[in-house]
Parts: sequence; structure tokens; C-alpha cells
Amino acid sequence: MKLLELQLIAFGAFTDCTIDLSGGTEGLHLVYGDNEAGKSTALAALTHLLYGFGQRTTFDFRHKASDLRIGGRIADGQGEELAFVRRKGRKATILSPDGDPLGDDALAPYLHGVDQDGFRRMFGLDHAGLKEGGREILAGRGEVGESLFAAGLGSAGLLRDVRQRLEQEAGDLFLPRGQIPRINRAAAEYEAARKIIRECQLRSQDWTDLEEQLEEAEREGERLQEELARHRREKTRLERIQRLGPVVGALEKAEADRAAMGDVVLLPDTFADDRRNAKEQLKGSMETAREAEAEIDQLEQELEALEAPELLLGARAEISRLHEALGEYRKNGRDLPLRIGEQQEKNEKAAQRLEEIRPGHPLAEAAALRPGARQKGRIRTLIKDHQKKISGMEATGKAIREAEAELDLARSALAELGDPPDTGDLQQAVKRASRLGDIEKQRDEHDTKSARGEQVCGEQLKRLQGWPGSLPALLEAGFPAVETVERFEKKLEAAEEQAKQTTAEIETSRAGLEEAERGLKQLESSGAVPLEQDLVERRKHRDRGWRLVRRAWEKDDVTGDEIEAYSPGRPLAEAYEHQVAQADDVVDRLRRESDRVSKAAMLTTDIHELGLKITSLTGRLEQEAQDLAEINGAWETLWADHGVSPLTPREMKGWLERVARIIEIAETFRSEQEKSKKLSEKIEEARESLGAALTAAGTPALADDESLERVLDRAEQALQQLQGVASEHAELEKRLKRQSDLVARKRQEAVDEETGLEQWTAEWERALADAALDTDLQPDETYEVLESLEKLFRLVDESDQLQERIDGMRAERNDFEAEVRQLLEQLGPDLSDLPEGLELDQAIQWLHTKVEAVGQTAARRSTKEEALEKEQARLRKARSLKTTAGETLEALCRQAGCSSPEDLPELEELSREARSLDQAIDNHRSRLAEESAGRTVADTMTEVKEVDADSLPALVEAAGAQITDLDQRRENVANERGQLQERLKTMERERPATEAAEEAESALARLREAVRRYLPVRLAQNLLSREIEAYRERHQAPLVKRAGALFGTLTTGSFATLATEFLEDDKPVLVGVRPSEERVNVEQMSDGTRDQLFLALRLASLEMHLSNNAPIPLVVDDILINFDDRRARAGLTALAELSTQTQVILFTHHRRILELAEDSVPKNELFVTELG
Amino acid sequence: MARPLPAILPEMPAGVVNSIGNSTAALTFRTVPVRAAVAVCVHPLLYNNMAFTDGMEGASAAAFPSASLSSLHHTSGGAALKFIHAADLHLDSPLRGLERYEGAPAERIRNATRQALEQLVQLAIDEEAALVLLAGDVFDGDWRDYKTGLYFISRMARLQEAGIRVFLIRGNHDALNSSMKHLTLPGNVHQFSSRRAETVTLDDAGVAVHGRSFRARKETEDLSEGYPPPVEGLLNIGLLHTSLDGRPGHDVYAPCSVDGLKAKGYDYWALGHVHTRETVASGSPWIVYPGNLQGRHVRETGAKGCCLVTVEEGSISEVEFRDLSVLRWAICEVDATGAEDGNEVVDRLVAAVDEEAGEAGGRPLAVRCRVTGSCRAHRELADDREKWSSETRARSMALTGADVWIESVRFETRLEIDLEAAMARDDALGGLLRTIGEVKADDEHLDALSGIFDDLQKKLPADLARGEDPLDLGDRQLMRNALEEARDLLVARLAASGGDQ
Repeated sequence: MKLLELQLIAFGAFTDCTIDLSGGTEGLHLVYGDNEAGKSTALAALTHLLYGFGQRTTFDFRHKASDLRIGGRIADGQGEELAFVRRKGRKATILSPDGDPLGDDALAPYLHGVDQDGFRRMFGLDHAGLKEGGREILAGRGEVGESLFAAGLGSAGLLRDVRQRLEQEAGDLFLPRGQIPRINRAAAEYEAARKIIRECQLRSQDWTDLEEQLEEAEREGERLQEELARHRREKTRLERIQRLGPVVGALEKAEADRAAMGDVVLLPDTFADDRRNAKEQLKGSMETAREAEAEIDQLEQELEALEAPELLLGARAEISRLHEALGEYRKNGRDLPLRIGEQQEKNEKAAQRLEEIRPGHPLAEAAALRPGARQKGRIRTLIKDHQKKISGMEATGKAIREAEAELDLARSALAELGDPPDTGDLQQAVKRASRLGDIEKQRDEHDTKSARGEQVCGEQLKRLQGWPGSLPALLEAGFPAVETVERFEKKLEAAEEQAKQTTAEIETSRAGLEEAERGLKQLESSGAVPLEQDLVERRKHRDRGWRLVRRAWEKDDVTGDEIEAYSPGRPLAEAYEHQVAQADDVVDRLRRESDRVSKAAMLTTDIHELGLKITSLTGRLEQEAQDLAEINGAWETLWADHGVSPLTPREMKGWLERVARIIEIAETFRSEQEKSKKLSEKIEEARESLGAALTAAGTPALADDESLERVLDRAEQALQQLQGVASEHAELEKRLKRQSDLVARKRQEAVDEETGLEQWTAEWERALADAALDTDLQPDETYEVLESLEKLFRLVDESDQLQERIDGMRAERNDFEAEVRQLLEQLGPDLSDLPEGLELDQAIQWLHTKVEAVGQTAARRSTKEEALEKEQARLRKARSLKTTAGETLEALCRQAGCSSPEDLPELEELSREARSLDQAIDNHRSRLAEESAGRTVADTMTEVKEVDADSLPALVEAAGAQITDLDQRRENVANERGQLQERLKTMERERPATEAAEEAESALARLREAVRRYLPVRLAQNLLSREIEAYRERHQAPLVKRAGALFGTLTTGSFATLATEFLEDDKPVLVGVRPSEERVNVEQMSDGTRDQLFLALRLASLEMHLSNNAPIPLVVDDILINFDDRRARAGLTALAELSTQTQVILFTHHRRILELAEDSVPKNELFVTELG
Repeated sequence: MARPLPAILPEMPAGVVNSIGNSTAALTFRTVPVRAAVAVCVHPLLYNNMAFTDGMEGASAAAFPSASLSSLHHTSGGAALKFIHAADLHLDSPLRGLERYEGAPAERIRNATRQALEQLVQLAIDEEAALVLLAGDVFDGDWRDYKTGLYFISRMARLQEAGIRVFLIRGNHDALNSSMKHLTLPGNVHQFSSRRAETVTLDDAGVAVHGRSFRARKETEDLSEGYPPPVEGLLNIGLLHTSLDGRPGHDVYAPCSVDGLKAKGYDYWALGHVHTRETVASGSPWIVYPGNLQGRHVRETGAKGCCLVTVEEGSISEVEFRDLSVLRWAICEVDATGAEDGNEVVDRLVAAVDEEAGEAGGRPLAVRCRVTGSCRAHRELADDREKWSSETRARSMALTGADVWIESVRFETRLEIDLEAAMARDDALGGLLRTIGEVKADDEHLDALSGIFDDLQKKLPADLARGEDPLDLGDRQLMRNALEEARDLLVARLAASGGDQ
């Protein structure tokens, strides 16, 4: 395939740009573009052209994605060309240049099975790919197979990636000696799970064995249990006998003893105690009585010895109180002189101050001068009021002066302005005129319209054919109505149509007639047509013959003439026969030619009928022509009255329409004229009224040519001016009024304030007088006087307080002394020992000591009296107890049946013994009843007596040993059973093997999946390696030879060729051969040289490929940029050489490459396109 | 503990004995009272040591008067009687082919067969069923863990507490399984003899059950022939483990014909063995396979459970299927034709899986996905199938929650354009493709190539080549498929453009 032309119709930045690639047989096409010129775009366009745009594109920045178009022209080896356009889309993206879809596989014959990836990989060469190729050769150490296969595949990195990835994947899945890969791991896990299953499984034998053991243990357990019970019962019985033996003995003895005692009075348990208590009580009470009597005597003697002074004791509280008040009394005595001195000092100071305020005023009367709190407050308030009043009066005075000045100003301004003007008329006129709006313009418009209408009307009238008259005449003419004209039109048309139709019918009939005649003639031209009439004739003739024959035969009277007449020259019989034959012949013909006969008959009829029809139609036509003429006459008449000679009705319809239009126009312009006139009147009216008002207002009068608009303007101006003056006037008057009001108000205020001050003065004097101050005191002096007064009265007050205290102290002292004296007097009788000459206070001190001593003696007396009372009560109680005890003893003797209390103890002893025996008997019996387990006491006693008491202990011990033994055995069995049950339970509860089974299945599934995965990977790996080797074997010799030559060219002789060598592991590797035969392995080559080596391999592979496959253009993208000039030249030469086999398209940004190419490639092989 | 049930014992009136007409039975009959007495003595009525060993069946009817049966259930005469028919429990046999992965509902389906049995028991209790019929293969032939038997006993005991009687026959798997032969079943369970067919009549319920267990794994005779004639006036149920006249995917056991069964004059044939639910005949008589109780691998798809049968006025009025499975299996086939890339294929897969999950009624679903069709996405899929499998799993999980277990995804797509053109080209890739084609077509070549898997073969357990989804490296078809996959893999990777031009 060769690309002849690449058209960038709408792609990237390009619009309708064509790159011609048709030069040469195949050709080396160099597409050069600076940066930004669109080299990359063109390169991409090439792939898109051949394989479509793909799903997304970045080349739709100028043209919409759906508008993207790339065109191309390609040719195959046989010179078959295809021109097409590629659009972006999913389906039907290949179009003919005319836009018809060509089918998505239209390019298949040109591409030879190379898909997009293959095209890019094998027929695209770029700088990055070259570098990668160089690197991969190094990485593979120049391994021949891989290098060749990679070059053949077109991409070195890809092959290496694929192989590495396969190896990686295979290794992840399986390694023959690994543990981590998935297969290895899953297999191990499967085995592990299987092992767990085996371990977890419970064998049925194990279970049933255990179950049987358990059953056995249970049976054994039950047996032991029974035996144990039996032995326990026996042991219990023996123990009971052992226990009850002594009881039975004791019972029998007690019963015997009791029987021996006989009858005994059974005394209650408390009897002895009661008796002892009564005796002791008797004894005790007698002793107590004696003690109490002695004590009473003693106490009465002691009381005699203690005496007490009654008066002194009665005043004990009073003495104590006075003694306590003694301290206070003494203190007052000390304080009194001090306070008196203090008071005198204060009085002196007060007298001094009073002298300052009011000289000569006695201090004793100073109280009259004391001002009250209210008065003081009032004075202070009045002082404040006074200040307010004074400043208020000053402010008012100022306001009055200012207002009066304002008033004067207003008055003079008003006087200057004079009277206000009257604007009423002017205002009204202006308002009316304004309401009319732009009336003059309206009038002018009407005028223009009417003039134009008149002109048009005139022209139309001139053009109206057949009207000799004027416009007014036309307007009055009253022509026939359109409907009338239409009626005539219809009539005429109908009449004409009728005539035309009739004529046509005549024509048709004539044609029919001619045709029928022609038909008949034709029919007859092929022989006469037998007619029914002919048959009739023949028959008639025949019958005539028959009649003759018959006559001849029957009557024989036929003459020869008759025969001759019938049939000249023939005998009758012959003639008749002939006639019969003739008639038959006619019949036959009629039958045979019945078609013709009937046709002829039909035609004949037609001819006749058509003839008749034509005649009738001709008559009708004449009548119709006459009708038409009549209608025309009427038409002419209709118009004659209006002096118009009419054209056809249809034309006259148009004519009437034109007339109507003229009339319409005329009416319109006349109405316009009318409107204009009316407006003019209104304008004049307004002008005049404005003029009058203006004149009245003293402005210049109305000019004749002055338009309403101007007058109105002028009037509005004047009005505005006048209104200004008027409003100014009004404003001034308002101000005047306001100011005079203000002045009046302020003056009134001043008067009010004056009155207020007078009132205040009166009040002030009154207040001073109330406060006993000089009435001529000025407010500002008053404060000081008040203060002095206050100080004075503070001193007076203090002095008064002191006086009060002094008085109090004196009174207290006097009271105290009076009380003491009274007390001493009162206690006189008891105070025989009071020392002489004691002061009052000492006397109290003495009394106090005395009364304390007396008090102590009195206390001792009352203690003794209480003791005496207690002893007397004790004596009374002892006597009563003695009586009770005697009675009790008597009662006890009666109960025991004896006379003296002395006999009682003996009886008591007897009763106690009898009771004790009864109790013992009861106890033994009930114990026997309790322990004999339901048997009667008698049975139990019998059972006990049956057994030899001496052998019992041995029997019990033996039974106990038996039980212990059995118990131990039973416990062992129970333990065993418990263990068995536990083991069964454990077995049942053990982890079921199912989980492990599930795990095994999961592992198996994992294994299966991993193996499924591993097989293809391993196969792919293996097959690819084999194929690389096979490829090498197939192609090594020619490829290495050709690549060697190219390598020599590309390195410009630095290397001569390539060769293969074997490494230690027998792998063949590529080496470069210097012209000196020196061998250089790939590791020793420079990067650039390795790139050239890969290029050599690629070009060699391509050449080989092209020799077996159809050519595909090779697209080369700037691979030479890192080559020095000499090697670049060599590269270009190599590409030019390749271009003899297939088209080579080299894209480059570098002008150097362009120059080098022009320099090194023959002109007829190099074709250059510059972009941008 | 509820009142213990008296054992339900085969009624052995003289007539029946005569009809069986064999002296061994008579002998057995004579010996039984002694053994039975011992059994009752040792086991305090809870367990009745009967029936899992041949020759033990039968006991004195006088010891457990049949009148006492009527006190158990359905004392009201006119009420409907219900019974449950299940088969092929394969208790504790594990679910197969489920590779565990993060997020798979592994916990919910643990012990699935046990859970299904639990649901069966619950259903019987909830529905107040009078009987439960188990038509063979309670246990799995390969499964030896006696704990499974103990578990079964515990469930039967639960039915006993609820007063529900159980009739079971042993199937081929049970016969194979020596471990479970010695189970001591609770008194409410009757296991039919394997020597000859028996009849148990329940006069109170108005039912006669006929059955015979498998004696050996392979029963090649028509067992149904020996089944007793129907009991007049009762509803006659035949319990039989059989492949009938052959069912695909199931071994031929106890073959018999549908006509033969019909001719017996029973009302209901409760069959087992075939794992696919099938109503062979509906009415006069009913012949029903309930299918197995829980699907265990991907070939047992769809709803699994039991039949709930209602009997009204002595005849069957309704046979209703009840889904009892814990996990449902399904195969999702998706046509990827026209899919542009792997994501689109996964979209379709996930949508199909979601739809399937919606039909599973809240059960976890195990799905095998198959993707077919030719599409452009094939290359991407072939490049890394594992990645797309994982993607499918992850996305299904995101959409359906943890209810879906993707068992595996089988990509069987084809390249949209054929390989002919690429193969025809004389270049490196074309050569590779031709070589693969040659290997695939040549058995000898193929076998030689298989040699590279010798190491692998040694590591693989033999079980991998068995079972429902065998994987045998010696299988040429497997190798051919793998070769095709390898080819697609190589094409996907090597035919890439290898850079961005």
C-alpha cells in the first residue's frame, strides 16, 4: 500500500491542508515542520486515517469532534487507488469523497491484515522506541534469538515485558520446590485439611464401646446401691437396740419405786419457796420496825439543838442585791465631779458663739434661735429658685430684642415688594392651550395627507379609461353595482359556454358519422355483407318459385312466361332448386358472418342516428347565437346612461374596482381637509385667548405670524415669573406674622417672670422670719449664718446631755442610801451584834457576811427534817409486812394438811420425790416411742430384750465396715460412669470434621483455579521461548548478514559487520565486528551505537518482512536527532534504500535533517513537504 | 423432656407374616420379645435399640399397644394430616468448589447440610406434620465421622419431643457407609428392613407406609416388586430409593418402571436418589422426587428442599415444595458480544448475578459465571483473567452485599476479529500463532508438551481429577483449552502496540 495524499480537512489546528506523498515509485517522503507547525498532528492523522479516531481524541480543539475529517488517497501494489475520508464515529467512519459510506472494511484490501497495533509496532519507528531497543539489547546481552524476535515484532520492550510477566505469573502460581506459590500452598493446605479430617473423625466403634461400658457401669451402680441400702437398714436397727437397752432398764426400776411410795399429797413446785419466803418476811419486818423507832428518837434530839434568826434569813435576797449594787454606787461617787466640770466647759463655749451671732442674747434663751430642718430646706430651695429666675429673665430679654429686629426686616422687605400680581387669566389660558397638545403639528399632518390624496386621486382619474368627466362627476355618477356586472358576466359566459359546447357536440357527431361511414365502407370492401333483408328477399323469391312448382305439380297451369319471368333461361325445377340453395346460402352466410352482419347493422343504425342528431344540434346553435346577441345588447344599454361605452363585464369589474379605489381616496383626503380646518379654528381660538391674557399681564401683544407654540412658550414664561413674585410675597407675609407672634409671646413671658420674682421675695422674707433670721439677709449670705447656728446648737445639745447624766447619777446614789437605811431599821431585832459607826456601804458589807453564815445553819436543819420523815414511813411499812407474812404461813399449813409450819419441810420432800419418779417414767416411755420407728413400746422392749446386749457393739461395727466398703465401691462406679458420660459428651461436642472438610474443599477449589490459571501461563511461556528459538533458527543467517551490512552503513564504517558468538552457557549473542576484525560485544558499545544496532536489526527485519508480505508505508518519527551528521546521513541513506521496497514517511522537526537529506539522498528519491 | 414415645413398630399380624412368607421372619418374631425386653430395661424408654442392624426389626405389638399411638397427634378426626417427604440429605458432606475469598459469606453457609436438616425439623414442627419420610441417603457414603450420626440422632430426638414420627430407608450412600450402621435411633424413628419390604400401619393417622432399605451399595434389582399390596382403607405411601428407569447424571440403582409403581395401587411414592426435584406423576398415585435438601456443588442448582404433603379425608390434596436450602447454586451465563472493554463485561456479569441473587430469596448464592461471545473486550480479559475474576467478585459484593459467592468466572469469549489474518502474515507473531495451531492439532506434539507439567502433576492430590469438576492433566481437551488460552494471552500481550505513538 502506498499513501498518495494525506488531507487534513478538519483536524487539530488544520483546515483543508493537503500533504502530497505521491512522488516517486514508493519514495522517501520527508515531512518537515517547526515546533507547533503540526508535525505530531500530521503523524497522528496518518494513523487515524487508516484505523479511525478511536473513542477519545485530543484533536477536537478547533473542530468539533463530530466534524473531524481526514482525507486520503491510497494505492495498492496493482495501482488500484482509493480516495476516501475518515470521520469520527463508531460505525461507518469511512466515507467516499462525496460523503457516502464505503463500509468499515473498505481499507482491508490495502492493509493486508495489519491491525492498528501491528501498524504502530512494526511500521512505526520513533526515537523512544529506538532508545528502548538499544537498552533491551544491552539487558539481554545481545542474545540473538530475543534480539531478532524483538526486532521482528517491532518492539523490544514489549517482548521483554511479556516474558518477565509470564515468568512472574508462573512463579507466583507454582514452583516445583516452593511453598509460597499458590498451587504449592493450596496443595499443602488440602493435605493439612485432610489430615485434620482423619484426626477429627469419630469412629463408630469407639462410640459404641464407650456406650456399652457406660451401660455396664450404670447396672453395677444400681446393684451396689441396693446392697448398700440393705446393710444400712441392719446397722440402723442394731444401733437402735444398743441405744435403747439402758432406757428399758431405767423405766422398769422407776415404775417399781413409785409403786412403793403409795399415796402422796403432791404439792406444787413453788410450795417450798412460798413457805421460805413467808418465814423470812416475818422475821425481816420485825427487825426493820425496831431499827426505825431508834432512828426517829435520834433525829428528834438533833433538831432541838439547831436554831435560826427568821428576819435575817427573810432579807437574805435583799441584802445580796444591795451588796451587788455597792460597786455601782461607789463608781458614781467617783464620776460625778468629772461630768460636772465637762458640762461647764461646753456652756462657756456656747455662750461665746452665741455672742458672735446675736450679741447680748442670753444663752438660756438660745433655743428660740434654733431653725427647724424644714425651714432650712426651704431657704435652700428658695436660694436655688432665685438663681433660676434671674437667668430666665435675662434670656427672655435677649429673645425679645432679637425677634423685634427680625420683624422689622420682614416689614421693610414686604413694603419693597408691593402688591401681589393676579395670574388667574393667564394661568387658565395656558392650561387650555397646553391641553390641546401639539395641535399645529397634527394640523400640518392632515394637510400633507389631504394634499397627497388629492394628487393621487387626480392621477388615478387620468388613468381611468373611458371616463370623460371630472372627479365630482365621478363621485356622483352611481355606476351599476358590481353584482349586476357579475350577473352579466355569468350570463354571457354561460351563453358562450353553451354555444361552444353545442359546436363541440356537432364536431363530435360529425366525426362519429364519418367514422361509422368509413367502418361500413371498410366492412363492405371485403365482400358484401348479407343482410336480413336479403334473406327476406330470397325467401320471398323462393316461395314464389315454390308456389309455381306447386301449381305446376298440382294444377299444371304454369305458363312459360311465368317461368321465364321467375327465372329467365332456366327450367322451373332448376330455378327453384337454385332459389332454395340461394336462400340457404344467405342463411348460412348470415349465421357464419353473424359478427360482420351485426356490426354492419349497428353501423348503419349509427349513421342514421348521427345524421339526425347533427341536424338538431345545428338548430340549437343558431338559437344560442341569438341569445348571446340579446345579452350583449342589454349590457350596452346598462352603461349608456352613464356615458360610458363598456368593455366586457370582466374588464368592467376591474374598472369599477378602480373607480371604488378613487372614491375611497377622495373620501379620505376630504376628511383630512375637514380635520385640518377644525384644528385651525381651535388653534386660532387658543392664540387669541393667550394673547389677551398676555396683554393683560403687561407683556408684548400677539404678533400676527406668531405660532401658537411660541405664544404658549411666552405665556408659560410670563406665568412662571408672575407666580414667582406671588409666592415670594406670600412667603414674606407668613414670616411677618410668625415674628410678630413671637415678639408678643416673649413679652408675655417677661411679665410672668417679673411677677414670679415678686412672689419669691415675699416668700424669702417669710422664710427668714420663720427661721428667726434677719429679714434683710441676702440669699448668698444666708448659708454662712445657718452654719454658725448649727455649730452653736451642737454645743448646747452636748451640754444638755451631760446635765441629764449628772442628774441620773445623783438620783441613783440617793435611792441606794435610802434602801440601806430602811433595811437596817427593819432588821433591827436581829442585829444586836452590828458594830457601831459603820458607813452605809460598810454596813452592807457586814450584813452580807452575816447572812451567809445564818443560811448554812438553816440548810442543815432541813436535811434532818427530811431524814426524820423517811424513818417514820419505813416504820409504817414494816408493821404492815409482818401482818401479811403471818397470814401466808397459815394458808400454807392448810394446803399441806398440817397444823404447824414446822411440819411443812417434811411434807414437801415427799411430794418432790413422787413427782420426780413420775417424770422419769414419762421420759423413758416417750423416748422409746420416738425411736421405735412406728412400733409399740411393748414391741420395742421385746426386741431389745431379745438381743444379747454384750454382742451388740461387735455387730454394729461389722455392719459399719460393710457399709463403708460398699459406699466406696459405689462411688468408684459413679465416678467411672461420670467419666464415661463426660467422654461421650466430649466426643459428641468435639469439633466436627465438617469444618476441615469445608476447608479441604476450599483448598481444592483454590488449587483447581490456580492450576487452571497456571496451565496457559506456563504454556505461553514455554511456547514463546520455543518460538524465539525457532525464529532465530529460521532467520538468523540472512538477518544477521543484512543487519551487519546496515550496521556498517549506519556506523559509517566504525563497524564492518555483525557476527554471532556463544557465551559460556551456549547462548548465541550478537557482537559487532570492527574493520580490523576486532569483536565488540554489546556491553562495550556506546548507547548510540546500540541504538544503531537495533535500527539495523529493525530495518533488516523489515526488509525481510517486505520481501514476503505486501508493502505498508513505514512511518519514521525523528529517529536521527541524536545521530551525528555523518551517521544521520548514513541513516537517511539506509531509509532511502528501504524506500525502494516500501514508502517511507519521515517526520522531522529539524532543518538539519532536511538539509542533510537534500544533500545525501538523490533528488528523484526524496520528496519534501513543509508544514506550517 | 416430653413424654417418651413408644416405639413405632412394624405391625406383624399373621397375614403380613404369611404374605412375606419366610421362616426367618417367624424366627425373628419369636426371638424379639426377649431382646426387646432387655432393650427397654437398659434404656429407660428414651432410646429404643432397634433397626439399624438387620434382624432386630420387629417387636411385640402387645408391649406397645398401637392404641397409644392415637394419643400422640391428630386426635381430631376430620383435620388435615400433613407429612413431609425429603431425601438425599448427605449430611455433613461439604460444599464443593467454593474457593474462599475475602468477603465471601463463608460463615453463613457453614455446615449447610446440617442447617438444612435443622430447617426441615423446624418445618415439621411448625406445620405439625404427623410424619417425616426420608427416602434414603441420609448420610454421604464417603463420610465416616460418627458425630454426624450423633447429630442426626439429636435432630430426630427433637422431632420425638414434638411427637413426630420418622420413617426412613437406607439408600446406596447409607449402605456404603459402614460407620452409620450402628446408630441407635430414637424411638420415633422407624428404619425399614433391607431384607424385604415391610408395612407399618398407623391406624389413627390412617396411613400405611411401605418401604425397604438398600442392603448394599449396588441394588440392581427392582425392589418395588417385593412391596406389599396396599392396605385397604388407609393412605398408602411407598418409600423407595431408586433411579426409576434411569435419570441422567445418576447411577442406576433399584431400577423400576413408572408403570410398575403405578400398578402397586399406592397413593404416594416417596422417592429418593435423584437430586433434581421431579414430580414424575401427580395423583393416582403421586410419584415424587423431592430432590436433595441442599445443593452441594454447581451442578445442583436452583431451589432445594422437601415436599410438604397435605392429606384431607384420606386422600392427598396438595403436594407443596418448600425451599430449605441455606445456600443456592446458580450458573450465570452472560453474552459479552459487543462489549468494548473488561469493565463493560463485568457490568453485565454483575447485573446478571444481581438478578440471580434477587431470585434466591435472601439466601446466599453461589454462582458460576460463564462469559461467552466475541467482543473487543476479549483481549483485555485474556490479558489477565484473574484480575477480571477478582473485579467481578469485588463488584458483586459491592452491589449485593455479602450474599453472593462467585464460585468461579469462566471466560470463554473469542476475539472479535479472527486470528486468520494475523496467522497468515509472515512475521514473528504470525509464526508464533502458527506454531501454537500446529501443536494443538497434533496429539503427539500435545502430549510431548504436557511433559512440562510433570513437576506439577506430582504435587497435585489425586482428588483433583475426581468429583464434579475434575481436573486431569492427562486430559487432552484440557490441554487444548489451555493452549487456546495461552494463545489468547500471548496475542493480547504481544500484539499490543508497545508504546504510545
